[in-house]
Amino acid sequence: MDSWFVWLETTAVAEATAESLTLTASLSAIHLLGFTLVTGSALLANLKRLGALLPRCSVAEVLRPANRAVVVGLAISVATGVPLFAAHATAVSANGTFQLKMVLLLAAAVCHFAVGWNDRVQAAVVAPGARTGAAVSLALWLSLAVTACAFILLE
Amino acid sequence: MTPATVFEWLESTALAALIQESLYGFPAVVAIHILGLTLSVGALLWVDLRLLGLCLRGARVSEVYRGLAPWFAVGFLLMFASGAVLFTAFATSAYANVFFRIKMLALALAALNAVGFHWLSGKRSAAWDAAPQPPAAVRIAGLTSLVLWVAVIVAGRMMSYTMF
Repeated sequence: MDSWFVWLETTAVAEATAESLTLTASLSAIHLLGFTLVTGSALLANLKRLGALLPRCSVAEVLRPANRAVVVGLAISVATGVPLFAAHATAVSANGTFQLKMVLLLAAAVCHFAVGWNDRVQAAVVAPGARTGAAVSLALWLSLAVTACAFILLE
Repeated sequence: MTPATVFEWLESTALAALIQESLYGFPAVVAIHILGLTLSVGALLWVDLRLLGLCLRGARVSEVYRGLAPWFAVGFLLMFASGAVLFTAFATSAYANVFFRIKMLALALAALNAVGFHWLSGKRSAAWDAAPQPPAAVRIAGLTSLVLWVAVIVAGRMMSYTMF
């Protein structure tokens, strides 16, 4: 695994990112924009699933744009996160907060879209079980926001 | 009293020392700042998209606003409080940083846009509250808000890479 990270650091994109502060800062800015889109959209989707928002809208009417935005935001964050990771793959992969961030990301995405599958089954109404899922999903996304940048600073 | 002396005094406070010297002070406050940012701007984004008539068209604008307001209010509170603490610790270098100035300008314009929008739309909002696509002036206010918050975020990230 370590040799893979070392190889990653020698790729053209990793070297370009590591050598340019402007490129690193720009990628980081787009990364944060993507993640802001993810958090806001996950908030909207899960508040609706919890029955805490927009009672006159159907679940589908809110979840369709919200979940689409979660996917777009994740795509932006991952696309910009990969070169940022590659530039310092060995050090970052060894960082405990980064590892926690990746676990939270995976858990949040799986939980969010597992509950989403339930939404489609239920069509118009959210089942009581899905509410627990929505609360857990929201908590995971918000925890992810906390660890998002903290790993850079905790060595 | 010049700004420089105020910044030096701020940096000499116990709060500033806590951020500058403790191992976890800085990352903890930055983490709160990012959480506040993603909550506030992430939630406000959907109000702006509704103002633009791009989604949630079946809901009233006021419903979207009221439903999300507690979340972006808490987010803004976290973001401004943590931002003020961070500024205290690095006031001199922040003030001298061009991206910090761009960020503050965009922030002030976003606040002006929000206050102006509430003040001007006021009683007239009843006419378009339920409209799937609000009038042009309302859509412009929504788009302005989006553009300014993107500017705040981008300038904020650029600032942290050019300040230290």
